Amino acid sequence: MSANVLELDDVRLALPSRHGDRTLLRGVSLSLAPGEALGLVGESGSGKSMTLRTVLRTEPPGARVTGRVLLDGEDVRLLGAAALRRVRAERLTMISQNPRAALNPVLRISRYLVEGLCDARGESRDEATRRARDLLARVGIADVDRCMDAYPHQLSGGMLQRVVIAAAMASSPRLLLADEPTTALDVTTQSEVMAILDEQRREHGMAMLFVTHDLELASAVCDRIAVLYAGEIVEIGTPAQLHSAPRHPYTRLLLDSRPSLTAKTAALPVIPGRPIAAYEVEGGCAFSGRCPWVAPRCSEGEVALVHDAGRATRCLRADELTAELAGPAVSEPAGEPVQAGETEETA
Amino acid sequence: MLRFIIRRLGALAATLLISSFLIFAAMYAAPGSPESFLVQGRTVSPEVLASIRAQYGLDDPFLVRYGHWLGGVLTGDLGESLTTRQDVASLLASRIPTTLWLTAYAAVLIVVFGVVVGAIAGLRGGAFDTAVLLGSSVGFAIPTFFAAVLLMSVFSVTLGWFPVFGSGSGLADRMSHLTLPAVALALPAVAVVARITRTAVVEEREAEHVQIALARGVPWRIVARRHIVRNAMLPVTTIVGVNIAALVAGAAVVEHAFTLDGIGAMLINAVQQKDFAVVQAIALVLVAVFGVVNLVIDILYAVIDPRVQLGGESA
Ligand SMILES: Nc1ncnc2c1ncn2[C@@H]1O[C@H](COP(=O)(O)OP(=O)(O)O)[C@@H](O)[C@H]1O
Ligand SMILES: [Mg+2]
Repeated sequence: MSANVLELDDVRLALPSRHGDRTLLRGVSLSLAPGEALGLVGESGSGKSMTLRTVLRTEPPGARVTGRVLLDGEDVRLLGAAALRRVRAERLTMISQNPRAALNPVLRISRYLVEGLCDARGESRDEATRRARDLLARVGIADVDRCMDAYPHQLSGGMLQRVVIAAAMASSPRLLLADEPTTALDVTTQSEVMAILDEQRREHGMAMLFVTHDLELASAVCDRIAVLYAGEIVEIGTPAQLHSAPRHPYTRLLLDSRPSLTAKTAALPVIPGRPIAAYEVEGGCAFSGRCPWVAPRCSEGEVALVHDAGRATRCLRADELTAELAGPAVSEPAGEPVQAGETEETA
Repeated sequence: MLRFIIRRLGALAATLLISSFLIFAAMYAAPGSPESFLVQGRTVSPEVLASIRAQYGLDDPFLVRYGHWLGGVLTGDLGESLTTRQDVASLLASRIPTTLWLTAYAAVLIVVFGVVVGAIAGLRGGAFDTAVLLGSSVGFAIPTFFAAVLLMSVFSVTLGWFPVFGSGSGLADRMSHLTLPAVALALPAVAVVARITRTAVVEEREAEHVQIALARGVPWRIVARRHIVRNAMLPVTTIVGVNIAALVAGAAVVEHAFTLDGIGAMLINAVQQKDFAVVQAIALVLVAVFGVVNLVIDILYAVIDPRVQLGGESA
């Protein structure tokens, strides 16, 4: 029994495909303390959503998952159907990228909210309705009556995401899983929705696993950040640690490739090469093919995640490169740079 | 909503008017003439023939005859049968109940067996699903007339469970008389509807909102009913409606095979005997039924799917 809300221990996931089994997660390990917010950052396709899905047990059918996913010390991977349903209703909650796809288009908002309280948790219908109205008011919805009676297509994306947040708060769960909750919203509502989400989370004392491709956003709302590359974590640290002294080359390049607010650069540095999928990794460091600091021994065997003073890094040369990675922006290494930044797919 | 219905009824009236003209024109242009049927191959003098033609107005110009007929239709006078000399309106009135019962029975079978079986197959999967897929292929491939003969020989002649002929009177007797015809009539539609329902349910199961409802801990029973089946009814409603509307036309074959005295059998006889007035009246009834069923479907559709706005007004 641990004190952590969530602990992932060497979680691996493979999906059968026409070309044989495809590994999507190559041993993800992380932990979340109660009330903590952990950012999971990485390029599109790195396995962020898949990691969340192993916690909620909503991975695609046929997926083979190994490793342990401990929620308050209890392995959710081993739960029976009834126990899993109870865990989902009471202790876990999820906010996904596109609120429009998350709600049944033919049912009213009130149905969606009441359903989570009444059908999932067994509260009385009257009590559930009363609470639903209260929750809507607390996420800043002015006209609660109108919102309750509305159908999803009558509300904006920002409003819908507030509804989803309200629903997520309903059960005051221990852990909130948020998968790019603002990516599908337009820029003006993004920060508003993010603020509401953060405020609500703190008010309810929930831990949050926050998935995003946006390192800046994660830095703003998370206590710690895990950087994911090709289905494995390459670095974990606090936002301050990562910003001032990244220890993995990939983290460094991610930091360099974001637009700077102070200095105007002619062209944004981009990470050379293309991101590889987890199943394309052939022994050695997954990032070695794109790494400007690559050494011959980098491709010789699996690299372990080394824990050191509250942070963790998966790089053989981390110690030798400490000073260099923490220094000023690296000059472009040899080879043609290829656009590889945030090419976020619309799911 | 009300304005939508009124507008659609107006459109239906226009459709009927155009159909009436087309039907009348088609009858007019059809080969063979009614008087040759009336004289039954006997040789009659040209004077007699002329008097027959005059009596039925067969020598008037096309538009005059159409106008005359239309005027009658609008005042509820559908004309007189050429063969029996009976009033077509009262002939129809006596025949319509049988067809109505038959199609209503078949419609219930379509909804109960098509929709329910298809939905269960889509939700459950496995052997039941495979059986439904196979069964629907067979059901769809069997021609209605063949199905009628097969059902009759097995259940009426061999097993003696159901009467072979007639439409019965009283509810229980009617049901027993109409069971086999309704099954034969509904069979292809049941197959199509089951197949479409199954596909719609399987697709809807994969919808993100369904996965999310399950991930929120909503019990499977409720998700299946409220999110999967309900949403799958959107495409199914259309298919069910079209198939029910088509039943009225398909009833002709079945009524003929089971010698039921409905308007379908009446239509076949009337066509064979070139009984213009009867054919025209029944054709108009078919068009009207089609229009009304479609209107009902559109309204139902708006009830199921709040995104559908009837005629641009908020539903
Ligand atoms: N249902 C699926 N079937 C097969 N492959 C999938 C499926 N969903 C995601 N993938 C693959 O898994 C990898 C990780 O996906 P995902 O976790 O969604 O990435 P992201 O980090 O962008 O959230 C990607 O390469 C993606 O192509
Ligand atoms: Mg994703």
